[in-house]
Amino acid sequence: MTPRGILIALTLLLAMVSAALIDKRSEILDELDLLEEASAKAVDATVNAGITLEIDRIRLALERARSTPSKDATPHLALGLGDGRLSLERGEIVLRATTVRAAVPRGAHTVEAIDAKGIKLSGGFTLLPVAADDSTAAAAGTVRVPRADFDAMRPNLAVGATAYFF
Amino acid sequence: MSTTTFRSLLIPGAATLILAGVAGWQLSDLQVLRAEQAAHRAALAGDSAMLVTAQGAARVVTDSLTALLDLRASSDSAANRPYLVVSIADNRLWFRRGDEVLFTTRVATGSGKFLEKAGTGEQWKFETPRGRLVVQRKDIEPAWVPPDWHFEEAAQKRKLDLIRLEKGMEVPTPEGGVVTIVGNNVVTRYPDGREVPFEVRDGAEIRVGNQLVIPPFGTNQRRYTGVLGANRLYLGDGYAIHGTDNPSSIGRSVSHGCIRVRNEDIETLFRIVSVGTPVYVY
Repeated sequence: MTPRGILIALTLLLAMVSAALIDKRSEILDELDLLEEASAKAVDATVNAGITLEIDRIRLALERARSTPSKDATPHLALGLGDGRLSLERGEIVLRATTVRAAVPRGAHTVEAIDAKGIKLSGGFTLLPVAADDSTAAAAGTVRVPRADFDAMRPNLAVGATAYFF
Repeated sequence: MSTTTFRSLLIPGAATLILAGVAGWQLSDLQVLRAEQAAHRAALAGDSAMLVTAQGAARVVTDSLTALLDLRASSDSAANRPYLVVSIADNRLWFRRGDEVLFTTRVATGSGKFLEKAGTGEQWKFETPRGRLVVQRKDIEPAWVPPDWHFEEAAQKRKLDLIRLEKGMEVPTPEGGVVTIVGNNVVTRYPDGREVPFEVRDGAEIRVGNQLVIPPFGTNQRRYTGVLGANRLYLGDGYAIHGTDNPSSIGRSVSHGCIRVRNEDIETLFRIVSVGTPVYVY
């Protein structure tokens, strides 16, 4: 083979190597795109799983708190501080429910005294009867209950009954 | 090397050199890309591991939550079985399953009034008992067997004395006959020997002079028909949900403790409420 032939063959060989390298580069770039996309999806899914975890953790805590009163077979009060729903319950049965204004912390409290002016609970908390159209914000430690609901609930509660705030 | 030979080698030689340079740059670029590829693969593996961990943690909490909600929704839950609720304050009855109201209507409940038992110092209180009762049985065309308080109340209303009739007793009437018991009937026995059973109803009890007669249990005169509607759901201890011959009383606190509903409503309740259904009165 002549030197020119050798050079031409070498050129062709190098051209083929270059083409193969271009192909390989393209292949790697494609994989990098896929890896980036997969990583982004995995990060998104991880974030979503974290959000789900936190939401479900909060819901679980709330549901556990809600299920505590349902184990109480005697007449008791249950107040959801999130939605302001106060209910008179007996076991799992909701006898009466109403919406109230409340400024009390979470926890379980015992009924200490009952009269037409209010229901006093341990911890210094009080349920007060108010007019149906009442719009006054609740003072700290109080729960403002529409009078008709208060009057219907009151005769069913005894001293020692529990009020669950959750 | 001749000029001709050099010229013939110049172009392929230059091309070779250029291509060699390009290939060298490509190899170097490829090395960078391979390093990047390895880093991305490692990052993805890490991200995937984090995802598995996060999903695992989320699943544990979600499964606990689902189990709790399933438990609450399960048919074992008392709230998911049909039950009756009666509000004394509202004089209203609901038939519910969970949060679903299957039927609701107005009722009459206990008046809360007291009635003195003459000469005993004791008294009856006419209130509907709060708490959990159970439908113990369902009656068709129930008769009302009035308790003693019914006669006490009727006597006090009409300012009469009470006399409790017993087997073998003969209460003389102003007309010369006697009121006595024959078989299952309280009858008037006239001087000519005729025996005429009394026909009684609420408000038309047996009266002899200024005395109101309490017929003994078991006699036909201690059974009033047509006053409780077509059906009755018996709750025990003398309490029941029943119809009424006084529909204007519905929605008021006027009963002696039973839960009255309109006659059409007791027929509906009789149809849809089963024996064993809990009744929560509050």
